[in-house]
Amino acid sequence: MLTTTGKRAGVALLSILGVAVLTFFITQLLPGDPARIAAGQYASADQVAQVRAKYGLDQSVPVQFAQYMADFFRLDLGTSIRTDQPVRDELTSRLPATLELGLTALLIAVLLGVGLGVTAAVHRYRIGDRLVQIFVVLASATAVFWIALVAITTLVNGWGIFNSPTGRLPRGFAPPDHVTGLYVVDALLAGDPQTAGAALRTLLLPALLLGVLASPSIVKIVRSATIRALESDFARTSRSFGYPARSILVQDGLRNSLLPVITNVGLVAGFVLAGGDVIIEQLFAWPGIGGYAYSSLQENDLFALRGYVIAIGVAYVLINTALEFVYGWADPRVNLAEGS
Amino acid sequence: MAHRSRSLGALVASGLFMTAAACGSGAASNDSGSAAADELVVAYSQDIDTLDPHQFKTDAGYGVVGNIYGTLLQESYTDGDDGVLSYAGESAPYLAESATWDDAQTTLTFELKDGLTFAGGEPITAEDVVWSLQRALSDVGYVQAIGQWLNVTDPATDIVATGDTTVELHVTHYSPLIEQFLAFQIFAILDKSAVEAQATADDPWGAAYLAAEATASGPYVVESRVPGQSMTLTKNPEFTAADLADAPETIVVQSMPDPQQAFLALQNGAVDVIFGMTPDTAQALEQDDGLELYDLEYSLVAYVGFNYEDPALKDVRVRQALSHLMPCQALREDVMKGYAGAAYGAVPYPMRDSLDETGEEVAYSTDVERAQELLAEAGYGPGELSLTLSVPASDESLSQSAVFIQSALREGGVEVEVNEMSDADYNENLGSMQMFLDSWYSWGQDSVYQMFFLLTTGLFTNYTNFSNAEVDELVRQAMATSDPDERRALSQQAQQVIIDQAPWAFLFTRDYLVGAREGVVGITHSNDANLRFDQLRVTD
Repeated sequence: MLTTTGKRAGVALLSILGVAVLTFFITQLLPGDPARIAAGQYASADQVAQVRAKYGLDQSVPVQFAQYMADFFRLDLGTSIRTDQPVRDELTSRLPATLELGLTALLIAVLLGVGLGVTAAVHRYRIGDRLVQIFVVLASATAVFWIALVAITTLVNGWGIFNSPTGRLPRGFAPPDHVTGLYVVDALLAGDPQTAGAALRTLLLPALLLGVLASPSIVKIVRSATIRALESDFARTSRSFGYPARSILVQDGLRNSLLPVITNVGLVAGFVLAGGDVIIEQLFAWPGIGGYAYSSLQENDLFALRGYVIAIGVAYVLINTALEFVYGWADPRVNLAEGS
Repeated sequence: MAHRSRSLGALVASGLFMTAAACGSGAASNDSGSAAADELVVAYSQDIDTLDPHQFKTDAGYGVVGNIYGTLLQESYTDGDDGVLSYAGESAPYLAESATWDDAQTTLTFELKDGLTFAGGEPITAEDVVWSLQRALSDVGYVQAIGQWLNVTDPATDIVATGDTTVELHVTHYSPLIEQFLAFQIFAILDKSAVEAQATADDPWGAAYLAAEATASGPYVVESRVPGQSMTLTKNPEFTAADLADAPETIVVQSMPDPQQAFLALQNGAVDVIFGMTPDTAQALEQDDGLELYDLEYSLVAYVGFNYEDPALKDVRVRQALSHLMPCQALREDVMKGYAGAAYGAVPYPMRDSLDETGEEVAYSTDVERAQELLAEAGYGPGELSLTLSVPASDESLSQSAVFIQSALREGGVEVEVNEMSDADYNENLGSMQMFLDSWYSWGQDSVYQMFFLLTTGLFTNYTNFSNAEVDELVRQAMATSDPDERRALSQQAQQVIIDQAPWAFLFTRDYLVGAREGVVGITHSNDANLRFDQLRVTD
């Protein structure tokens, strides 16, 4: 067991190293001169050169790379050209907002995906299945900025169900004392249910949208895997033993369709933390690392961009490593296969 | 086979629903109902990038810097009873008690007000003032380029403290811009000892410290910040340079990147003021009785730049022809929704000394026939000229304008490819693009300043590579004279040459659009296009 864990940790570390190396060379290809942007429109050529020297951008690529890797091993992601602040600190301060939104969205996506996927499988080719397929098509094809606008107009301004998208808390509420960085959790830990409620009402709408938009792939995987499992020999055997349909669905259908679902959840987790999150954070003025990445990209903030890509890369690696352990839990044959 | 019925998913789902439902009925989380009585939320489209008054680049950054730091002088405003405070044409002492020129008008002496202190309690001294102005004119930030207009030869020797509260500024010659610029918050008064305590050999001006920390000398102090979301400012209890009795107790500077969401938040009462609305949302706002639009005229000029190094665009007839093809009226009405003025040349109304005193003049009227004549004279028949127009994708109004221009030029027989670029790519390529859509605002709205930066030979902000010896000489003379009438005459001669040479197609001037909930007044129509938070008021 320890050997397996060690191997997985080693692979994860190597993957993170690979992410760091790739990130450096990919960001070298970005158009625009970061020093020019940092110096501002009034800056002379001399001032731009000074900025370039300050950030080491006047060095050759191999020298820059060596410095970058040395900093990386010290967990130093450099200084933001835009804000003159350490990138690691800026990402760390924004990460809890992204995690709070991303994890809630992931939970919604999984609940929705599994629920609808199973519904579609059980009601295959009937009205329930058709409705789920319509949902999948709509959720896949809808432009996020449009649905966000409609949702805010109706659910916030029209019916007042959720709070306005002005960050993580509505006006009049102060952030709770920092424990986890997740406002809902921290407010509950502080015994402040009003702030927790306000934070949840602000969080739920972007999380719902992100979760709904991320759910179609889970729905499709759960549907097909569950149908396969329910048509398998062991499900047929269970039926012949007279087990209730619900029991067969859960034990034979869902349990045996878990592996592909877990794989897909890993991909969806990456989407909600990196891809969809950037857009949603922009639209909802959510102060996470997605909005930070967007601003950094607009202004060619090289070090901030690298920091963001590395952070997301690390998140992907950690998610995938965690999933490998989950595979073992869901299907002991995975561990046996490794052992053999 | 052991079969057990599990309903964990159902439990989690119902738990989430119950929690949400409970929160949905929570009385405390109503948006507008929980607002503090004396708090105003001001939304900007960008985040606060830095608190350094010499390095900020976003409107939000300037909004904060401009209200936490005091300056020696401040613009005077007149109240037009329409909710707007308009620039009165002069600067008045602010942290200074007095500002006096000597007879030769080469030394400006400032006497600080008695008892001024920073928010930390330390007194504001002449030494702080000298250090702050020297920092502004140093190479620590881009303000140095603007600082040269103070006509100071050597900041180390020409800005001196002659007493605990007296500072002298020695200049080569008088210019009306000196007092005007000293009222801008780029010449903020900083706490020298606090910054120097954090300075290092590599960072002698304490840039890293000032990026995130501030010892206020102005009407507000930073109370708290949620990175990427908002910054809360409260009234500076140590500030005595002006009466803050009626100023809002708290200002929340809110980042709202999406203009439509910002508008919806204003409608919902989640924000009180939006600084810098888009024409579309401004138009929607005007349909809402509970909201107020402040449409502020500025000389923020939008133009198409023609690169002089391009073989086709070298020919003045081609540039003039393209200028005649520009659909300026359509751009003002359909793209800018009417929130735009006419741009008569590179120095449009209401800029000081503009040739256009009414804001209605047009240098090149839309005239397809005349354009085609000029193109024929230059040797281009219909369809024989193809050009690329670059535009920053982040600027919605400019992107839309590019499409209108493409269509209008096609009607005139000129093919245009529109190249939408990221801000970084666009800025990197300024100076090398064939044609580009840009807009520019010169603080102080001064004609000579505008022409110097944008249209004199070899300057790094002369993105068209325009080079005209007559314009260079006229601008140089205008910069050197201290006679306002002579300056105006020289400026207007240069403006006419530029109009004739058509290095740009002069499209329109963009208004600053400020949205507010009904009752919010005190919007400053300032020359640095910044809100003075202490002037905001809420009326019944």
